[in-house]
Amino acid sequence: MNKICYLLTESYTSAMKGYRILSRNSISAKVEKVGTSVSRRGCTFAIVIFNSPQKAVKILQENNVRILSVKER
Amino acid sequence: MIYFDNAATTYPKPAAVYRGCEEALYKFGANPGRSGHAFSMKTAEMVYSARETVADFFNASEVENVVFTPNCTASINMVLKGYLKNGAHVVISNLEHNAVVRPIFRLKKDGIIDYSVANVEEGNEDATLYNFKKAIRPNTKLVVCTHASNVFGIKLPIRKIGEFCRNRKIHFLVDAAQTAGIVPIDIKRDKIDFLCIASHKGLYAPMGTGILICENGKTLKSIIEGGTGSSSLDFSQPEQMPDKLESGTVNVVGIAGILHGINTINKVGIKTISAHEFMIVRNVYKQLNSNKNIKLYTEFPDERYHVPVLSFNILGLDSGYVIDELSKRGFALRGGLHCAPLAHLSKGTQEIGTVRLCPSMFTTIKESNELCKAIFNISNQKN
Repeated sequence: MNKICYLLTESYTSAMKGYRILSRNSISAKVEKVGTSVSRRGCTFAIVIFNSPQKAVKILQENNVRILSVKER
Repeated sequence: MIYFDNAATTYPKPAAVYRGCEEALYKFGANPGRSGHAFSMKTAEMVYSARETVADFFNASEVENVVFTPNCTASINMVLKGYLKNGAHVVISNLEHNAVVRPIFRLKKDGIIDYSVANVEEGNEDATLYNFKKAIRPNTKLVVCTHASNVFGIKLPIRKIGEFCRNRKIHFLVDAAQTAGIVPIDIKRDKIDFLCIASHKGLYAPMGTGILICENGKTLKSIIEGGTGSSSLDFSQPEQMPDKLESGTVNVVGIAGILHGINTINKVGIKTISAHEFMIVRNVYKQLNSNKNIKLYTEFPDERYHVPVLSFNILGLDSGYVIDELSKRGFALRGGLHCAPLAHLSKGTQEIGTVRLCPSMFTTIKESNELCKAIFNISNQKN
């Protein structure tokens, strides 16, 4: 079964930007607001991906999307 | 009513803007970027699309550099008060609107900054650039200029000024209230650090909408702090853009208007819109110029040096009186000082003001001929 990974971002805009970039790179993703107990920093939006996060994180970093942390479920 | 007050705000708006704003009230009615439910996420996605559309239209480096504000004045104040520190010197032009003049004057009065005024030479870009260069001091941190005078339609050579500022490592703010949507602006090519936009004018969005494009948000301090829907455990304002400069709920309906306004401009073509508006002002200019009782203040409208905004007076009449008479005849124009005292001082019109007309993409030649007839009629009654 595929993993679900939450790539925590700085803001909704950042998450949406990342989501669009990943879509253009054929990586299936969606944007979700994550629970405070997960983010540990209050309101946080994450890019949710259904695969291993390494490739996605690399693409996002190359496109100036800052990922605060990666949570796997 | 025949509307020629498009320099104050455009009317009517394109049908797509009315439809888009109405749709937003129904379909995008949740607070964007705050909650995680589907309705909020859908609204946030529309806001993001608008942000992306604005970034593409002005060639911003990153989508997050686009900040939605209440109006162009707010955008300008956010930069002037968020960027300028004690001891800074600023250069402004002599055609600035009070949106620039008043915050600059206030900062000077409070002992924070000093400023110099560079004169704009109509039709002579090099002479204007020289005046800006001459005004620079070792502590000049910012050059602020309108892209075009809201009173006389005189355009400033922002590409040349931007190039000069970049070479001198001075930040450059452009007030594009009268040009965004009418003159192509490329924030990278024109080397603009802060682009301030009145989206309810040339972008055909509703009133109460403005944009600030900030190519380097890190250089700005926020002047309004509050909820952003991000990092909410932190008592400090977030540093990331656009949240840093976009506290509080945004104007979703207005933002939908911006999105549909820009889409319409892209569909019609900015060059087509500009050519149409120039055709209208040239027609009016030719007719008014043939009447010896009418005073025009600029040369024949030329895309290189002007935007389609024209000021005139009927000799011996106050501009306010002319506006009232035109209003009785069914025309909407603006008289007075147009919130730009420096511009009037430069032409000596501070006592009587000017009558200003500005067409939009919807103005017709027939309407402009009718306007000229009405102006002649008022002039004949006086003389």
